[in-house]
Amino acid sequence: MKKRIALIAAAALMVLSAMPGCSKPSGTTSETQSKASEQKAVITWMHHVQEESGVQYMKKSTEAFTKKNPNITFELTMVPQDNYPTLLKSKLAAGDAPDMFDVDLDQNPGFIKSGYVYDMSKQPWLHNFITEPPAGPDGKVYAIPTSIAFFGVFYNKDVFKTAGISSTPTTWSEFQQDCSKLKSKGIIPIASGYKDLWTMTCSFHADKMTAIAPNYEDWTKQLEDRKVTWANNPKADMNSVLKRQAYVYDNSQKDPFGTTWDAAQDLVVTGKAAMIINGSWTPGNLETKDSKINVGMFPFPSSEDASKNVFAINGNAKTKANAYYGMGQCVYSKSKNVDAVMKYMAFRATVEDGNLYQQYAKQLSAVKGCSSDFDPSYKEWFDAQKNGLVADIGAFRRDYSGQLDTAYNNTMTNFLMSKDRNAAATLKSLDAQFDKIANLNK
Amino acid sequence: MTNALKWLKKNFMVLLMWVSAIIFILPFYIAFVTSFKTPLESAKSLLSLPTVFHFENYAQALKMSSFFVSLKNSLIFTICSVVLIIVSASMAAYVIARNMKRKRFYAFLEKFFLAAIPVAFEIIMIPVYQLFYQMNLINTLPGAIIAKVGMSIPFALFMFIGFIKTIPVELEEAAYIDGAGKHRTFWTIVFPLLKPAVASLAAAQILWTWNDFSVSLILLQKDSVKTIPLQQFVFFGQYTSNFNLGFAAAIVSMIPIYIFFAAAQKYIVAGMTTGAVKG
Amino acid sequence: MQVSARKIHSIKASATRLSFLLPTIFFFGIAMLIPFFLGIRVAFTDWDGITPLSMANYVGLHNFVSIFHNSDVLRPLRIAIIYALLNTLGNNFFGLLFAVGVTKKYRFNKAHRLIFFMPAALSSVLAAFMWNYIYSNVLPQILGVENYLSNPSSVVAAVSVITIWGGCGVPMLIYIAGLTSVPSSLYESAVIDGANAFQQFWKITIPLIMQSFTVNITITFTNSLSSAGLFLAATHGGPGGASESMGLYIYNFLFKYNKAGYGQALAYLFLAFIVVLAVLISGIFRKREVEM
Repeated sequence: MKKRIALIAAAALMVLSAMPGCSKPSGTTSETQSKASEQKAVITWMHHVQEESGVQYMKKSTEAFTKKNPNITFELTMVPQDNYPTLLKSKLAAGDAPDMFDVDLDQNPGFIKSGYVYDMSKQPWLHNFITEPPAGPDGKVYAIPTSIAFFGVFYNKDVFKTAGISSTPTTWSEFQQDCSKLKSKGIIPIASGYKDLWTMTCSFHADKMTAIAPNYEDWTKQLEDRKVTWANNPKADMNSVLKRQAYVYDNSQKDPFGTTWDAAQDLVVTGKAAMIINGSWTPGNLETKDSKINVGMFPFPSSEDASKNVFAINGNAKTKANAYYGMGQCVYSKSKNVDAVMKYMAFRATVEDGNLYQQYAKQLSAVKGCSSDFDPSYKEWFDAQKNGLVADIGAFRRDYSGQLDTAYNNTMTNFLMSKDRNAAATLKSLDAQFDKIANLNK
Repeated sequence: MTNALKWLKKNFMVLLMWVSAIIFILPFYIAFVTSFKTPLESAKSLLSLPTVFHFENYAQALKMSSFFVSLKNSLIFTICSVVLIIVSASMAAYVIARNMKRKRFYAFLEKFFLAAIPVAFEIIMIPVYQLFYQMNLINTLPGAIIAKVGMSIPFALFMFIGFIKTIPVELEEAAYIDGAGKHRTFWTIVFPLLKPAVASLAAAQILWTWNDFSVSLILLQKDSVKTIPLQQFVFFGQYTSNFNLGFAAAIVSMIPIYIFFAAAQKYIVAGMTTGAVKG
Repeated sequence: MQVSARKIHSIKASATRLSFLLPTIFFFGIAMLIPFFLGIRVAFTDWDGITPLSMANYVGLHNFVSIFHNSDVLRPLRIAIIYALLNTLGNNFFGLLFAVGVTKKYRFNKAHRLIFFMPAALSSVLAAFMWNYIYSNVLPQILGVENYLSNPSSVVAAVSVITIWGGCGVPMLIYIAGLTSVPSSLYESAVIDGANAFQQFWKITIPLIMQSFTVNITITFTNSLSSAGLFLAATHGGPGGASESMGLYIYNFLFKYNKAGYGQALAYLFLAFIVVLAVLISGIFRKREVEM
């Protein structure tokens, strides 16, 4: 008898929960389809931004836009980074894609092959960005950038002062000397949060992008196509990169692979460590932890030639053969709201939105002409720009695709954790793995 | 000397339970104290009790994770699913257990559902999404419930079949002779005897469903239907992790389930111990 | 035509039996059976997981053949098996230990039972979150040890600890149910016959709770083999791939590497492997079950 009651209760609950959406399911785009025809549109935007600052920006940006265009509203859905590709691909396979989403189109060329992304090549506002959104081999633009990303060394200015370091290092020797100075004062030179593996790749990026990339735009592609090897490539001295990264590892806090990015930031914020090698979003992150911190930045000094100590950013491909699509905000080609989305994209390319981005997301906007004094931490960056100390590395791709990426990361991890640090053997092993994967793909 | 040893021998198990219990509860203690501290405080000292209880962590955690909406969703999702699992699986297990020796079809069913237990959700995730999309079940709680029930039935079946075999057939045969139909026999005689199995399965299934992640992730994306586990991610960003808020949210999401178990303990235990009297 | 009463009766009986199966057929059919078969055809293509399935090429058995030629699949397999063994041992040892402990009569046994069950009430995401904090901050500070999650030789065992902590609660309950269904009269007569505690446990308890073993061991072992979620949340397969279990390896092919066809083939192959194991294991234990 009790079970009968339970059964009925369960059925009743199911009916109740189904009622609000019983005639039309709320997750499909059919609702938005009918609305678009009356000029009203709801743009669905699926993202993986979890940081409060990033979420705040999205709110402000969409609110500002809706104020100007009251007929267009937004539906923002957050999916954690780890699960984002899974869900996006499931939705695309079912034909239920969001209007806006984020993809790295070079790593996932299938998105273009399948015609899922909207061609924005003819949009007039493309020229509003500091470097124009890249056009791929087919000459079309499918993604727009949100921020300028570069890699370098970020440091706690007060800690440097305490250690008696008056100017930032511009050569590798100076960098090593500064590390020694810091160690003698009982300060950890570098905080490395390699448990979050992407931070390890950032450290390598900061090195490779100034040491190798400026003169070797298509190195990544050549490696993937097995036209060149990791080992013994006179144009790309990976051996030295490995040695320098080993030095960074050895001059970090205890157990880098057991320390999270969060804990590493704590070290810099509390002054226990001086530097952290990561990307241009770092100052904002550090300031979220402690708004009083004084952050500075300088390029990773990989050579003995001070003139080579420049920040490196991606621009447009130097040769047509290297044309690439890049990572950024994409639009679903079969979306019923394409016109509304393009209006919003136009807004995204304005200085107003760029400044909102810098103010709330605390990162550098990719839009031309945005305020350059929103955060004193970036002073060295803006100075470098003024003095021409920024290298355009064109279409240099810093990540490898799919399995190759995993093989690369695992090999670098094992190298840093090994006792003998055999760079030559490591590169040889990496070559063997890349060969194996290339053969598998045939 | 021997008195102490005798005492030790007698109470060895109890002592072991005490030590184990302290070890088991330690992570919760850490989560608890950290949830009331500020990031700076917890960075300084991990195990100490907070000097000031920062209740605002909880307020913020509740707000950021849309707690009350997701609580409602989790409740509906869990209760409906578990009831449906128990009803469906017990019925099917009954007819399979009683007929698998005589009829090949039912023997096959037993092996079939056993084989279904290890099917991990990832394998069928994309087809499930496509199918449910066709049926307009995406972003609906009924859709998620159907998926969860379907995936949980094989294990429940497995458990029930084992337990039903321990129930003597004579009881049912007596009812049959008295003129009762199969359905009535099942609900009035067999099901009540399944209390130990229902109790432990319900306890386990409530947990698993409450904490379900994979099914909910794929089928419930809109904030209005998200369940509690999905909202946890608000606190662990890719670039920042606020442990204090995260633990506050974690503890808040645990409270309903612990209240339930504290209250239902008596019922669950009673259900389990009826078996002892049976002998 | 006259249909015999007996025939009608037997059809009715079959229909009644089938009616017991209806709810199960409905839920299981929609949620698992149909998608399972829908997914099979993918394993025979080179689908990348993004482009419409219709654009993928049929490659026959190529995916399956590549799996056998690729030695990379051995490490995830080894990791999955070690993990499954550790968990099965841990879950069942502690599950049974705690079940025996809390069924004794002492003042706080109910409280202890709740405490042992509490970790099971955590989602794997939260457990990974809490234990990450413990392994990276608490243990190093309090005990001075390294972060076990970031040492390739200890990472699988470290993740196993998390699983056992959260996973022995349910087996404990199942063992409690089994233990309490053993008639106390059996123990009483054994005591009269002079059997000590150990003999009672081995000769009476274990055989009569065998069905609890069947359930617990089969489930723990097969679930652990295909586990991906906890590894994804706690270690992402690191460091350097040392904790990339088979489940995670398959997941990566399906969703990260754009080789969904190969991933599906691997998934179905591994599933067959697990099913065979599950049938074998449960068969061993089912035979020893004692029916009342």
